[in-house]
Amino acid sequence: MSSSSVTNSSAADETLRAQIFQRLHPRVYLERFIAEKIRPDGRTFDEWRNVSVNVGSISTADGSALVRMGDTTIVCGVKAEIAEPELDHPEQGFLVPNIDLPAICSPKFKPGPPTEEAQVLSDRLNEALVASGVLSLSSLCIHPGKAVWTLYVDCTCINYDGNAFDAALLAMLGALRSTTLPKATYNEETGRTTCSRKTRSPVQLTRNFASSSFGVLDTSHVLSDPTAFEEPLMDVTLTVIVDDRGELISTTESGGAISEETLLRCINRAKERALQLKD
Amino acid sequence: MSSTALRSISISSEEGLDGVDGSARFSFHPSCSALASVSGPITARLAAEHPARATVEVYVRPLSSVPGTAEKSRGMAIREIVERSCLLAQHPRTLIQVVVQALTNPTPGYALLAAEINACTLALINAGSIAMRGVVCAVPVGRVKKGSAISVEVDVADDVVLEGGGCFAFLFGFALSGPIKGSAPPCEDVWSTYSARPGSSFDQAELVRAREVAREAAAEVWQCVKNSIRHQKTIGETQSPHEVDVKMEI
Repeated sequence: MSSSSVTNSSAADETLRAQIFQRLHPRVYLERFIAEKIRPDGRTFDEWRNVSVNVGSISTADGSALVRMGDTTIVCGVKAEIAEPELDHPEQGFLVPNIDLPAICSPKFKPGPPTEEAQVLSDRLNEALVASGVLSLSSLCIHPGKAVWTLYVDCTCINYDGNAFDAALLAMLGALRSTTLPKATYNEETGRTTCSRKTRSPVQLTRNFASSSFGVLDTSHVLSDPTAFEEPLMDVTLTVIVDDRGELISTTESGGAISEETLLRCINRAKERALQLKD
Repeated sequence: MSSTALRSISISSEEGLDGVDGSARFSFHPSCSALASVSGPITARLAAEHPARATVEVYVRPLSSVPGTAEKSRGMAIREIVERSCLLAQHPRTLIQVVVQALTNPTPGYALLAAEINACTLALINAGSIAMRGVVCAVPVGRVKKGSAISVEVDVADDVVLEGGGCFAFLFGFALSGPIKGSAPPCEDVWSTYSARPGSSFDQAELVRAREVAREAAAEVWQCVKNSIRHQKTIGETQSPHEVDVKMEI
């Protein structure tokens, strides 16, 4: 009995020592794992975390999705409003994506106005959704020059464990796919728009795509889907967005030189990942 | 092909903003221009201080309206570039504050971002107080249809027909490893983004081609930056080295 309690306490000691080492020397800790060809959470370099998508769970929103990518949890809701279109584009509706990283999701975010990370993520998601034309804005038109739909796509992170961009993009696309808009008619005489309570039609998405993020350590070790521990230690971060036909939509690389074969390898992995996620 | 687009590059650090350590203006074209200022190393806020290296803060301001998420995103890109190109460990517990003012309206393409990055590089050189690993030069590239030629796109008027484009930033330095092409030193990539507009897409061959086009154009930008240094006056000088040469000839 006493010997088992001794082994238990020494195992607990070792875990404590490992945790202290991880806090004091995070990079060395990670490099020790990399040398054994494994990552701290047990995945291989190429492995992606399990993804689960739950669509349509929020009944009060016009469309919603809940995405879990490992421990990173993102909730997305779509709300539709009627607005007057811009004078320059009288037949185009509006798509307004936004993500919020509140203090609840991670100790590194403090309560208050959106942090730089949340703002940058919002801008990148805006580029990925609006600039890539996933939703034809003219399909949101009710009456040219008078009434158009505005879709507010709002994401909130409930738990942050790295790679919020991939999870948020997945959540936004899932929510948009499940969005239904009521049939709206514009009355020219009164200038008001009436929405039907009974008929709802889904929103038309033109293309489907998935994003994959990678982190490169020491120019040769490429880790897919970095966690919150690995992310700040990466030398180079790379995000590739691939559409469902296997064609590239956007690549963003920050941090330094990666060799062409590494880039090609990442692109191929991103394409496989897009096929995986399609199912 | 690229030299025609880069023909109208204009660099100036003559006026010099008074309240900062270094400033410079860079424009690819009259419709694409940015002004950057650098102050540093200066005192950092206690919360932002780092014990082993300098902290970098970048603020990007648009020509009109308040800074939004797009400016924050460009600011983060510039911050990552500055952190990679400056030797921050030489100035621990200090702050390097970079403020970038866009002098023209934003475009759907990346020309303004490239101008801002180049302006920051010039401002850092003008300040002279922060050691750098190399000089960062950025260029915007674009192409019209999938499969067509990629070229440097700096004119806002051309921007509307583009169906794909991106921005590539390279670090040039003689201390880096790599081939020396012409007069420019070896370079390594430091930041890049490439994306297709709605309805279009690209493949990896195009990405590789775009990088090569950007690399050559960036070398030309480097040459423009080097030429502009000759014309700069340092504090206390009444004539720049260029003017002295001209007078000597008479």
